[in-house]
Amino acid sequence: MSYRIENIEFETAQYVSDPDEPVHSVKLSLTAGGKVDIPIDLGNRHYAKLMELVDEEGLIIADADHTPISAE
Amino acid sequence: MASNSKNLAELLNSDVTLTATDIANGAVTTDKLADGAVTAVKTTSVGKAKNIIINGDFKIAQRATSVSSTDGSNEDYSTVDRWFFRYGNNAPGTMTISQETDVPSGYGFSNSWKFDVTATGTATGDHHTLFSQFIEARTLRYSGWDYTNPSSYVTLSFWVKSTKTGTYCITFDAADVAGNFKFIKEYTIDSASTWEKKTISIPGHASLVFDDDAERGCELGWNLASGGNRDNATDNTWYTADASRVTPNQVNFLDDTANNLWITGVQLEVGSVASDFEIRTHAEELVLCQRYYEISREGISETKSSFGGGAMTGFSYAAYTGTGLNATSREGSRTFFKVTKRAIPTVTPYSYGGTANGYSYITGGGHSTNYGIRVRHEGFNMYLAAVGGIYAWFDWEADAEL
Repeated sequence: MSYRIENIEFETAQYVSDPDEPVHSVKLSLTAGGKVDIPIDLGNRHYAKLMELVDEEGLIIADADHTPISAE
Repeated sequence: MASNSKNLAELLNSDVTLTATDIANGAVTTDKLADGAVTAVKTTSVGKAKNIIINGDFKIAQRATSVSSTDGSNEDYSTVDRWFFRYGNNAPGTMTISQETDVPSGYGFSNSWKFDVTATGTATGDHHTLFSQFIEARTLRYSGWDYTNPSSYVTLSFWVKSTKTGTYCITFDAADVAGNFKFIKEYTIDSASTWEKKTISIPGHASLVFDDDAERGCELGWNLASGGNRDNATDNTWYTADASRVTPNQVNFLDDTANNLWITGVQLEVGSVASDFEIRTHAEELVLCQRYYEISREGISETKSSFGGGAMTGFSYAAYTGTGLNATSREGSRTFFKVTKRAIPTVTPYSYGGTANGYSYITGGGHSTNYGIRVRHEGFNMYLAAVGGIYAWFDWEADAEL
């Protein structure tokens, strides 16, 4: 199942955290490949829409896995 | 002989046309004006920024100057700064939306915004097609408008030109009032392909609320088409009965591929009278826009369309990051915005080739999506994964629009 926020079409969502900071954003895995990071701020319209998708369309945001970015 | 003040009073009450010699230069000095002689409505906004609308003359276009737009593609914020466009509820039709230089002559405008229908559509049901500007709640709350008083007004003025004559509707959608709460006002395009100035005054209402925050206070919308579930409103009233945005008289602008519409000189000001459009400098307008959206380029001659093409200039991030990056490295970029953002923005990096959500590196050449990012109102940190000894490049956009 895919979801859409304006022109952003994505399949899954996962919280992002860092070792020195609690959860600060949500990573969206794009249908076309790659990702977009949406900061956790209700003033950000993308995040506000993401919360609408959670409430109204059952989108589940996965917990952060605390894995730092990996080497290529 | 009568006093000067009496002569001036008689002159002003005589209902005659004043000539240049009736009041000599310097004749109306401060001590000749009684306290309150000039009413507040004539002095509101004098000496301060009076236009609540940002980029009302459409001269700033950091994203692009022209797009083809249809439902799901190039909607929302896609061309001129601060201006929003949508095919609501998957409304039909296709338009080319562009920044233009066709303007009413003699008023100092340089640009307009154009809608060119390229595929027709008939709105039905909940469809609604419009362009708009969202205004921050705090901006309205502290504007000086006594907005809970029905005798207090803000006045909207704009220049419009369209090949399609008829009745169009403006919608002032109050976002902080629960339920449906919109002021809807018709205006008429009388002559085809002719610039016409329209003025609409919006009264306060006892139920109006604008929260003390930087979120949506209202959406001021210009409707182009609307379905049957959205056209029940009554002209010139605050409408609450349903989600209607227009009256039944609203034209369907998207009924012919010959239809074009231009707009410029949009001003919203406190008071019941429309004054001349406040022309700001390019630099002033750009800074106002950058509170909501900013790119790594300078934003005037270089727009987001400049991304890619093998050129990284302006404020693109470009740095030798050495060989120290590895899987747990915190090494990376720190970028400060030129203007602090309204909210924490969504930041999108673009690689050397202009591909979104990635960056470029030199060693071996390539595009990587392997990064982490942390964003604040003032800037962002981006952490790059190890790709050997690298020289990392990326452009970026930061979007904090309402």
